[in-house]
Amino acid sequence: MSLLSLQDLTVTLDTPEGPATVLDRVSFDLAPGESLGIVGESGCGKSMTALAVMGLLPAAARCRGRIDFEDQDLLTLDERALCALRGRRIAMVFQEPMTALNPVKTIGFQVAEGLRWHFGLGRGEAEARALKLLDRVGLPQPRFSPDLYPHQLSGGQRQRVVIAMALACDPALLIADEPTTALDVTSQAEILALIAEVTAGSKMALMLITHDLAVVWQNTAAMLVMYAGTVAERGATAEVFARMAHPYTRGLLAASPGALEDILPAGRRLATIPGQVPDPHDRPQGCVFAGRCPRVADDCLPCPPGERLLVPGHAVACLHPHEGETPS
Amino acid sequence: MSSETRVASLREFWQRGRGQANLMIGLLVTLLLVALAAVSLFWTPYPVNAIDIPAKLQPPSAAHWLGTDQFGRDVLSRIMAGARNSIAVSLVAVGIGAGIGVPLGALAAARRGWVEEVVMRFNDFTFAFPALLSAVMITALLGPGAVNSIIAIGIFNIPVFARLTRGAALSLWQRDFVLAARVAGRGRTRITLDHILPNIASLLIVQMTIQFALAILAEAGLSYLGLGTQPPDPSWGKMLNEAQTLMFLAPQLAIFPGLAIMVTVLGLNLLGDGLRDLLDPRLRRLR
Amino acid sequence: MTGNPKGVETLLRVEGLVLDYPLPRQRLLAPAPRHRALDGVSLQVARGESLAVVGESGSGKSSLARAVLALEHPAAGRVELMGQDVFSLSPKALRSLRRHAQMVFQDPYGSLDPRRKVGWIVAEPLDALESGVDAAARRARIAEVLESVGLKARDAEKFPHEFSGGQRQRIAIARALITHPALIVADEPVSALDVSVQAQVLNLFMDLRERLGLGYLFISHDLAVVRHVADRVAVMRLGEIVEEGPVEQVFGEPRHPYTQKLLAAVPRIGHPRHRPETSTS
Repeated sequence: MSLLSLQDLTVTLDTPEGPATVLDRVSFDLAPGESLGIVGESGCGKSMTALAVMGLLPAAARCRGRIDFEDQDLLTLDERALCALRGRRIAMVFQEPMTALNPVKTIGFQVAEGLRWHFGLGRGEAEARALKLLDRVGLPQPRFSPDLYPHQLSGGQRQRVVIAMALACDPALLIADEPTTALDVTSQAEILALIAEVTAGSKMALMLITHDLAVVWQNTAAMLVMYAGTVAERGATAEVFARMAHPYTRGLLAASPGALEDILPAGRRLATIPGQVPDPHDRPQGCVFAGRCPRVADDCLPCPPGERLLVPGHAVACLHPHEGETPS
Repeated sequence: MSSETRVASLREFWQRGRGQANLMIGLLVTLLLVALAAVSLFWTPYPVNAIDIPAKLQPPSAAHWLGTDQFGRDVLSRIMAGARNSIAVSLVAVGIGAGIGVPLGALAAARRGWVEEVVMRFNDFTFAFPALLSAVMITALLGPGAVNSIIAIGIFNIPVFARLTRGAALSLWQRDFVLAARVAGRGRTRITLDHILPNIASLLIVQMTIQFALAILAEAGLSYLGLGTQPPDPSWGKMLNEAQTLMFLAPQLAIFPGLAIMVTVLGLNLLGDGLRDLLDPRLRRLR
Repeated sequence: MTGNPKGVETLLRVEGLVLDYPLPRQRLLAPAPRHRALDGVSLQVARGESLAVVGESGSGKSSLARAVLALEHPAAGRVELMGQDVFSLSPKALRSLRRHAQMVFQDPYGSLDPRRKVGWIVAEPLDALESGVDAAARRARIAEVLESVGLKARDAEKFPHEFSGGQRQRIAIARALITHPALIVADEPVSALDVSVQAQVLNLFMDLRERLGLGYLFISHDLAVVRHVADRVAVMRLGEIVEEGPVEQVFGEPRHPYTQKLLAAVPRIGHPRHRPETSTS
């Protein structure tokens, strides 16, 4: 049984230039305790997917399809019902910890806030729980007093506070949207390890959104590669990395200097994906990647490619996928 | 910038601005006021200062749309001429405020250090007195009259513009494109002219409409106190003052100039709010 | 490459650079406390060489970039550009030296004045630093640099907001190239870009270096990026350089514990995973 299930979710934004399709028939399932990585570049729709699940899409957005979470269709819920879910059953870790925290409230207050709101705990009890949560995310007492303010912490420590806030009500789903992009390399590794630690061995499902293939490789069991609002490739992380069937996935890998560090000698030209992501107001009729694809053929242009299963647990939306192993 | 893109962006502004009610109302009221003042230059229903004692204190009628005052002068004609005075005084006063305040603020932001300290302490000093009070003080010192009330109102506009300009300019000086201009070898003056001022222009325009409304109020206040425009020249504040003793006999004498002030200030504020929404770069980027 | 003094091999020499920033005063009359951003930094860049400075936030690497271009005034130390001490030069002499060292910034959205056309932006260093360039020559120079970064000459007539992030960074690079400098200081030039665009811009940096013989001072937090564009790497931490050497050596056999920690922290495909129970490869 799945915890979260998206079925053909299509999101259209009304803009002065006309409707823009930011998500196009996105479907996936996430079971309790599972981890899913969503990887793609800016404008691919990965953050929109997170916002849709949180019910935080901009007012100009129109949705079709279903978002089933714990047997309720989130798209039919009203704002009050969504408020009761947010922070309680679905929690989120944001990219920028400084803006996710209120600068004039102590970290103890902010971690306790969710507990008081959702569980109606008294101040003392909530703050006692907050201390335990801070300890769990690696901010032990007495060094990290709950009376500290966000500006007194480093970036990585702030992100730990944000994670403690997310964990406070023991949610069923944790969404982490680029949780390490704003952090230094060393804290990045620590925060990812912390997220893996708090979700592993619990029933909590993780949806990790990132632009970095290596982060997905290290942290999630399943993955989704998104491009221009569509799912290009999906499957178990190991399967996807072993095959890299979609030309976009391969292009992304080849363009990442970090991912190939052990393979590519220093100073070599990086492979690039020519061109740019198509304008959401004017998406091509057929495959959205066709305009940049090295393997494009005539049959790519008339209509978008359906998803096809390569092996159990690995599917790709491409008519001419790469076959065989990833070149490495 | 070529005129072609100017026109294109003006047209774009118009298209986006049309949908905003407050902007449109504000623009309409302001244009009406300007038209009223412009027409009064060569035509008013009656000569502005023509005394006609037999026709004094008439209520509104077909002959005198807004009635007459205690000397039988046509109120509509005097309101039209008063608009001219209000506009002239406010325009020059805001011009003085912006003309001195903006360079001071830009200088403070560009030089920092003791220059900034001096400019800002001078600002604090001016700000420390309530605006109208200091205007009263200045006219008391220089003597009453339209010119002196312009100077008085202008002086208390200086710190408003200096402060606004400095704040906005300081944050622009932190931006990378200004740093890039410094790497390119541009001096502070050129950077201020080429990069800082064009980027705060919209902010200043909006502030000008707000200060313009305040200046109209201040001019009315000074004239009401007898420190502004001198008789027999009409001014809205002066008219209110003269109507005071006749409040119960001829309330229309107070009501119409009061309405004129209210509608004008409201219109200018609406225009300022609308312009701010229109020119806000964050709103623009949301397109 | 025109107008460069001949026979100067060291493009940039930094010696014992110390830079302090004043912090807000704690008490009214007490002297303002100072934050030491650079604490005795020394380095050299030879003509045509690419030196990368890596470090985390707060390491002082961006302060170094600014001090090198005389945008900050150090408390101690020397910066020599093409053999001339930049802090002892007259403003006029410094200006003429600026032709030889230009900068590329991190944020392609913040580094271009939104109210100016691309042609104006790109030509700004030319207008400020070279006199007597007539209109036709100026147009030709703008077209030349725009084309050299992969844009079109007619893009000069557009505004920055008409371009994507990667294209904007190309505009910023074009601006840095227009005076034919020998040194480009690049402060995190690709960290705000998407992966595929980042690769395009990194390749451009490498192409330009080969074609124009540019020297780079390349500031980055991203070790993987650095490995691609640099000949030598200096690792900075808390205002000091803790390790410096050729790329292969620093990446292959890091000596300082901090360098080792940095390298170990980079997520890599093929490395052990946090969720070993699902790792089948």
